[in-house]
Amino acid sequence: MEKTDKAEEAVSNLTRKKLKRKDFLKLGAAAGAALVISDLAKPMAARADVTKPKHRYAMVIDLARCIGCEACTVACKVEHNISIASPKELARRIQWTEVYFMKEKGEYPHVNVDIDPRPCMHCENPPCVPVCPVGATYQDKERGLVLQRYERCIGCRYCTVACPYGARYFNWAKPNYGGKLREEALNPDPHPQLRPRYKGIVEKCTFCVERLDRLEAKVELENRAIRDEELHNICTCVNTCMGRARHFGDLNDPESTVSKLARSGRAFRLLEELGTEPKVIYLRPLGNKA
Amino acid sequence: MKKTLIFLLIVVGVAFIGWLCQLQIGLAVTGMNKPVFWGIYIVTFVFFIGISAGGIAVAALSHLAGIEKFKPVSRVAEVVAIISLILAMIAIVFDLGRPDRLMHLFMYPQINSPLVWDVFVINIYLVLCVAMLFLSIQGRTKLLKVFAVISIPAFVLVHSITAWIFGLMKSQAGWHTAILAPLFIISALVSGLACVLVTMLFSRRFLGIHFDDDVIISLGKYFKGLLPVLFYFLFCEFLTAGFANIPTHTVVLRELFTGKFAGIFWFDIGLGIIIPFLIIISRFGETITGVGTASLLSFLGVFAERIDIVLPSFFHPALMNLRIPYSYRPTGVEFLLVTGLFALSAVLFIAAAKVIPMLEGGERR
Repeated sequence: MEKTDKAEEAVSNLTRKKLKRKDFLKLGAAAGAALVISDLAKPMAARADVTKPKHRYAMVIDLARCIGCEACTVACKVEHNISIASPKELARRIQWTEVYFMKEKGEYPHVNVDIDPRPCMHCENPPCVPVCPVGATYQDKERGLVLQRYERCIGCRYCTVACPYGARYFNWAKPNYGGKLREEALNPDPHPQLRPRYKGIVEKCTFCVERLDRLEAKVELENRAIRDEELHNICTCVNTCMGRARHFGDLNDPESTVSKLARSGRAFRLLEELGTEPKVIYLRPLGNKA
Repeated sequence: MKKTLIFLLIVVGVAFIGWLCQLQIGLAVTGMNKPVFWGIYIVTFVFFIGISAGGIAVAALSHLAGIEKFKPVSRVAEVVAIISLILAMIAIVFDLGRPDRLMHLFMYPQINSPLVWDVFVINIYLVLCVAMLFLSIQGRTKLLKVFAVISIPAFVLVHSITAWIFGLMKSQAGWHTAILAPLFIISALVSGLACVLVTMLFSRRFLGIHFDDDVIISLGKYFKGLLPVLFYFLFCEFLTAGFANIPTHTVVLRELFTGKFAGIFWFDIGLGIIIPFLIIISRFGETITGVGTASLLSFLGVFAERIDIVLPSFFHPALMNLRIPYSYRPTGVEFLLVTGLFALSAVLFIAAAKVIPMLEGGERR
């Protein structure tokens, strides 16, 4: 009884006490500082969780089915007007998706190699986004895509350094479209992500956002939700994969093909220990422990 | 002197033409490529940022610690700091793919990026240094003291944030370590002090600004404290990485100890840290030649250390594509631009020495 009385008294004392202007300013400054600090102190994971995206587009790549033919790489280059590189310029290549040949295993004649077709992972906690000094790279919150604003990029290449997957590519020189012949055959799609790039900027895989945009517009016109099978062939690389190793879909839909495959015991993601939460999910090759 | 100046100006001019070439063709004229995204430009940037520490160190010694002896030196130190900050900014512009969009940094700053923190804190630091030089010329000692106090946290921030550009990157092996910021601060102090000493000897010899032997020798004594700490920090880093034996970190260590960067690394440890330290603690350290040699060596040593911190990680990305060999060889344009920067620093210093009375209260001979 006594305790509550004391507490009430303390509260009324507090409210009665008028806040002087100076105190108020101090309070405001402290609150502001606290806000800034609390925002910075939040781990990146927590920041990404603030808004739950409507879609979480993801790709599943079945390594048991991939033969490393790089048809995906070529199809992507054609679709997205990507500069070509001569064999001498391999270290300056631009390939939004490419097949990594990672580790050779075994001894002749029982040699095998780990292959890893690698588009952008469209991470849920992308390390490339917070480092960009001008906000040229951003996360599309609605769909969980990581995209690049070409007209904003200053070419500091901080994002390429921050990306552990090497999924970002810099235009070291004016893009090479192989002379006049190919320039005439460029993809005429007016989507801003597709227009030919220029020197000094960074570009990357978009999960074929131009096709996604078109599909979403169509779905909105027809006033319905996107069906899973409509997403199957959205990405050029999925479309062209002859081994049917790649699948595309929405992880937010528990019945979609990608969600089902992601629940498989073979599923894993690259460099999971970095906490980037990549949205490209691999399926381990069958009968291969590594 | 005039001939040297003309020669330096020609170097600066040629470097400027080189930069125009780079603008025209793109960064393809450099040796940078897919995994080695940053090269000698960023190394130079970090190095020049480090040198600016010298100004603050000497100013703090004379204005705050009240060591009267160093007062005449503080102006040279400030000038060196200002010039090195300007050059660091130029170095970062060299590295940009689109320098014409530099204003985007101020139009759309993204507060999460360590690069933005660095841009702001470098500008603040530059303003502080200019203000301190100005106050010192006007002889307003009290206000100068206030600025000297403010500049110490600014100094810590500048070097820490420059370190965090690298140290906060979890994806690069060898960078993601907490000691990077303290290491940057201490190596900044070493290179800064070395640069101030080299500049003093240079201006004594060529510009006729007379600094006392006594001042130079007693400034050199500070290496006794700085170099062992630098060595200790490096040792901590290597022991932590090596003992844990995490493959992504040991590859970088191996690169340093026996790999591509072994020459640069052992140059840093031997000629950049151990020999200068031995010189300073020996009898030779009591002479002008001794101090000069020691500071020149540790100056070069810190440049080597910057290379060792920035570059080796790039050769070991988390995902390796065996099909493509990784290499980085700086091209002529890169060397030209970096040489141009150093030449520009000399030109700027000579010009500043003409305008600003370098010796506080002293006359020029």
